[in-house]
Amino acid sequence: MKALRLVLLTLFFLFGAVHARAQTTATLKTQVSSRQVEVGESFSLTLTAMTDKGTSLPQSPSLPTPTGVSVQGPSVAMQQQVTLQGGSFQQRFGISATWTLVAQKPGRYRLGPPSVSVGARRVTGDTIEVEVVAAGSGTRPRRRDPLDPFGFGLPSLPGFPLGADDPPADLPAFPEELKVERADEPGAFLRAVASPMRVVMGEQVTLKIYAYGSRGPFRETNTSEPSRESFLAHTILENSYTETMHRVPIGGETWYAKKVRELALFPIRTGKLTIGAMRLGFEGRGYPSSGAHKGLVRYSPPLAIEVVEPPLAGRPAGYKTGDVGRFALSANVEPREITAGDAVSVVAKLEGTGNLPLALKTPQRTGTTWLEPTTVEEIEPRGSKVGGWRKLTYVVRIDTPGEVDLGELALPYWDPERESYDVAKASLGSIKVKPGNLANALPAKDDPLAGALGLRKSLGEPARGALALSDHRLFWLAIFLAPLGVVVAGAGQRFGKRLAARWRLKAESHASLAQQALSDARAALKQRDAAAAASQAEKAVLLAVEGATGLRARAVLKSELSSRLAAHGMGASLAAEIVTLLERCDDLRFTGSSGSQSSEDLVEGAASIVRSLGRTA
Amino acid sequence: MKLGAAVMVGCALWLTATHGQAQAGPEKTFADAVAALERGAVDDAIDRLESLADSGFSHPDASFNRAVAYVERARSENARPGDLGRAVAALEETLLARPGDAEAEQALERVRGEIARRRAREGAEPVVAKTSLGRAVVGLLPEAVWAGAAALGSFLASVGLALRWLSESHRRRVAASTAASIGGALLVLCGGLAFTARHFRVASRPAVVVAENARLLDQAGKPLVQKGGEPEHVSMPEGASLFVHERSGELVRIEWGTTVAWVQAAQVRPIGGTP
Repeated sequence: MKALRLVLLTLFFLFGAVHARAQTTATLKTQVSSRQVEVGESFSLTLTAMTDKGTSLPQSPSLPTPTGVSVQGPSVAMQQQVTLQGGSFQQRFGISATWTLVAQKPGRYRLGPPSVSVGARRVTGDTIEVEVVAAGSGTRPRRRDPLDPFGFGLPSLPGFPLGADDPPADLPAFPEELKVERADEPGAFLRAVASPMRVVMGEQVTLKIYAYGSRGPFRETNTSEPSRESFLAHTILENSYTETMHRVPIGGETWYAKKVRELALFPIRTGKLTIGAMRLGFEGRGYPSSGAHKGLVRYSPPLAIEVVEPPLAGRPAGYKTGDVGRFALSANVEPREITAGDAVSVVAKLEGTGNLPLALKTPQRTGTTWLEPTTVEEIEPRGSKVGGWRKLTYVVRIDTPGEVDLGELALPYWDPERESYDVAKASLGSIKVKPGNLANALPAKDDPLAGALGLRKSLGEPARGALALSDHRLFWLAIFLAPLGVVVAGAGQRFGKRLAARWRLKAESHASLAQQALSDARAALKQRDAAAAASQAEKAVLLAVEGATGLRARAVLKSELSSRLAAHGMGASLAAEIVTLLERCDDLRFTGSSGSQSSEDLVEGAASIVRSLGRTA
Repeated sequence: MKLGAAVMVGCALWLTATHGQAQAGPEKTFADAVAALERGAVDDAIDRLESLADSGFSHPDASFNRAVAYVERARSENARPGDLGRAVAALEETLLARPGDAEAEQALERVRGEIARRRAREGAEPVVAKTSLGRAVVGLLPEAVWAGAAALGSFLASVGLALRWLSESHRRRVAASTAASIGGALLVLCGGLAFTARHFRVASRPAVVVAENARLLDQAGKPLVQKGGEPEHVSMPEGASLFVHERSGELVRIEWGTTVAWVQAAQVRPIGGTP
């Protein structure tokens, strides 16, 4: 029996623990647009439910309402939250469900609690009490459209004197940020503005999204948030229910406009980062809906933000990319006197605007151990800037007796306004540590790396850049062209020699044949055969001419021979001499006379020409 | 005249001071890092030595002390994952700049041994990546030696060919032909290896894994899954040496032994600078 009670008790505690854990995984927030409304006035109630990544997404939102209150919706939008904790990013996902309510009778109404399903459980938000007063008796001033006294969002009536086509000059003042030159789309459009468009990693980019409708007042419905995976996001304006609608002149027409979102985004990486499109349904009379509670759907244009690293020049040691803003650091240390082995508490307060870092660089000393800090923070939008403070409480154990200087806490950061680095510092002072019992000190572990590396106290010889021969094109040209050059030179020389020998042979053969012909001519003279001598003399001259110039003179008319020989580079006198001699040879052969000269003179003349031509060759 | 001389002296003094300041920059940071390590401020020393490396200052002793700092932090209660891998990267950097540093070689061996011991304590099997045949052959000798041998081959071939043309004696011609053949073979073989070594050096950078376990991914960033023994590995252990080929967004394409895959860029540290 005792054992059974023990088991039951254990199960009870286990169930309780699991239940408590499950409860903590989902975070619910309930908001209402107004705590006091008039009969017939519409107001909204929003439930935001977020769960950790990996757990079930919240779904099936429901809102119990008392009789006398009519309800429309909910319109559900996905939510994503990224936070940096303990050096790692934590993502939470969830939904925001918005109901539009209208009370029919005065009185106090308890709305909710709204609830969502998370896995198999149903998790509830807070109950909200709203006071409904008679129409016209509310203390809160209401802005009403002159054409829409009941706040139902009547469409504008073109041409009607008090309608949407009123001259813009009559419009009340509206914020400058809503001013646009022209409408991006007919009927309704969304405009997204990010500022600045070029930032350093960790610097705040403020994203504002405005909705414009030309057909009268509208409510947002069927929304999806702009994707921003590469940014840490802080919401400045979560929805447009509390925003005032303004009438804005655009292109000669009157449009209804209001800001629907404002986010402070902190880029977590460099590059061209994209902020996705936001979807919003314009709900109201005059806005044709594409389905139940879908409204007239419009998308904002996606934006590209250029994110760079802050400059390397002047970067302080210990700067962590992403620490951007303007910060101040203060610290308090207690007690100032301890016994060795005991601990002191260091409370560091980091204040400022920007992306407040989650951790600080702690000053390390031999004999002091800094434990992980506990963190308390209050960070929220201050106007359009995110800022606040974060308190980090450290426990520091000191094992070394004596006056121990704790050093200082330091946070190097980039200040985007001044465009320079700065360091927020807080001096921690010294602690008087009395000798004490160090029995609690950790025993030395078996450490194979103890003494593995001895510290080098000065810089030795710097590294010399190795000569990389192979990086030079000349090296590759030289090693391959050198042997190739030798081969080409050798082959060229051999070819030249052969060619010269061939030419020599050729020239020599003509000369020898010419000499042979002269010998034959002389032999014919001895036999008193003048015609044969003339024929051999002519042959000798023709061979000599061919040997010297390459011209086959036998095939050339005598009348043209002189000019052809000149064309082959022969002197005019020699050419004339050759032509004369050849004509005389012809005369001697065919007529038996050669003018005044004898046959011997003719042969000697031929021999002289052959010699002259041999020199020329 | 006096004014001109004063201006010149002033300029000379200013230039000397500026030059001295520029010279003292890295040395002072190094000295501050040494002082921080001596008083046990390991994080401070790491910050200073890392900022020194980021500024482009490269010195084997600065890299060695960075390894000392990471090893000290790995031994402390403030140890962070990848500290020993970063120490390996720093020691590899030391050896790349000063190949004969015996102390760095021994330290590298001990740090790698400690990584293996810690992995074994957690039940992980030792992982050995087979070196690719190309890298193994090319890695037998330094690139400069291959290039020098190719140049020698070119010289031998050129002289041999020239003598073969010029020489009349048969014996000399045979000797010249032999020299030319040997030179030609040396030129083609060593020239090819020098070219391949250069290609490896230019097309990839040595790097070290600085995460406890770097998961191998495909180009889309999806983890590789082993099917039928392929691929041989799906993750790389801390301190593993590899080669980085290219970067695409947050991923880098790496060559680890015969495995070519993608990993998160933050999990590897290229030796001698950031990717």
